[in-house]
Amino acid sequence: MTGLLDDFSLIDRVLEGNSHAYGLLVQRYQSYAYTLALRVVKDPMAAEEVAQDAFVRVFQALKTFQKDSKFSTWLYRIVLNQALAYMRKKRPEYTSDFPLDRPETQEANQELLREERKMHLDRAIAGLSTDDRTVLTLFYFKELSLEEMSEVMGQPANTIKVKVHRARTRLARALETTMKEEVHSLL
Amino acid sequence: MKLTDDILERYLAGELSPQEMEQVEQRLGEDAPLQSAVRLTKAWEDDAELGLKMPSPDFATRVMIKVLQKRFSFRELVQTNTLGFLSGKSGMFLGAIFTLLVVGGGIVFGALPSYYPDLNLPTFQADRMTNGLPVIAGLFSLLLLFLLDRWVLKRYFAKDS
Repeated sequence: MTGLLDDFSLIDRVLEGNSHAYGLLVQRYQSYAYTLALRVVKDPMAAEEVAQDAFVRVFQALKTFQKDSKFSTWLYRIVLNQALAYMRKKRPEYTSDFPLDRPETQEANQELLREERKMHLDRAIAGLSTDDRTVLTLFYFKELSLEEMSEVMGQPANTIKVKVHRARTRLARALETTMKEEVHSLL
Repeated sequence: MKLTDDILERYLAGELSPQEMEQVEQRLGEDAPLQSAVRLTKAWEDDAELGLKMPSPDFATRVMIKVLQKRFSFRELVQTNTLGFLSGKSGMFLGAIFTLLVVGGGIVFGALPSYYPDLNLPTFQADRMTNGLPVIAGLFSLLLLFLLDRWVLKRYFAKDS
């Protein structure tokens, strides 16, 4: 039963040659890696490529992974680096507007209110800076402490804390703007 | 009360006094869009999945295909452990081929002269010299295999050895 194994046990199995165990790790973190990549590159297709390539790099470097930190921290750092590298290399024409939402069959059945909230959130987040988007995304993943976030972003924990607070305020202001726009559109 | 960014920041971080908190909530009650915005910001905090995006359904499969494409290399073909690749499955495979070649070769070359006498193929006479040759050849092959094993370990599995 590999489904209930923790990350380190799965990694041990991968290193023993069990590819299936790596598939389980990918499934466990795919939405987090994809979300982080998407928040940085703002393009769903590119985000998929970035996140997939990050997982491949992680696989190749798995032997060097030191278990003194969480697997997710290490993964997110690689995803973030991959996404930032993509942003540095990408051509200007890729800086298209962030799509409000992409068709997601898995979430199609969820309640309308939740979808609306997601839509507002996406729209507001898209208007923030890359730094704000990254810090908020990592913060709201919930599983990372400030120290782990600082490890992912390569910045001191105190700086991250200030950034989280300011980014959250800017998000609230951005949401306020979208709410007002919506009210105006209804009048 | 004017809801400045500083006050809003401290409100969202839960750093206001109860009195200030009450004032902010009263102010929010007068501003529906701002109230919704703050609620949504807090909602995301309570529900991490609200901001989570799902990749395409075949995401994991595509990752594994890429991984397997990268894995298909000599390094992966010669599965190994700290003892060397000959002690693993690849060693068994190599050993089986080696045995087949030696035994098969012996049978073929030993039998050929009697099957085709017209070809005047040389036959090996059992004497002290020819008796020793298979032993020497076997030891030499083992030495070669040992050296190959060490080379593979050093070249591809430096961390393991």
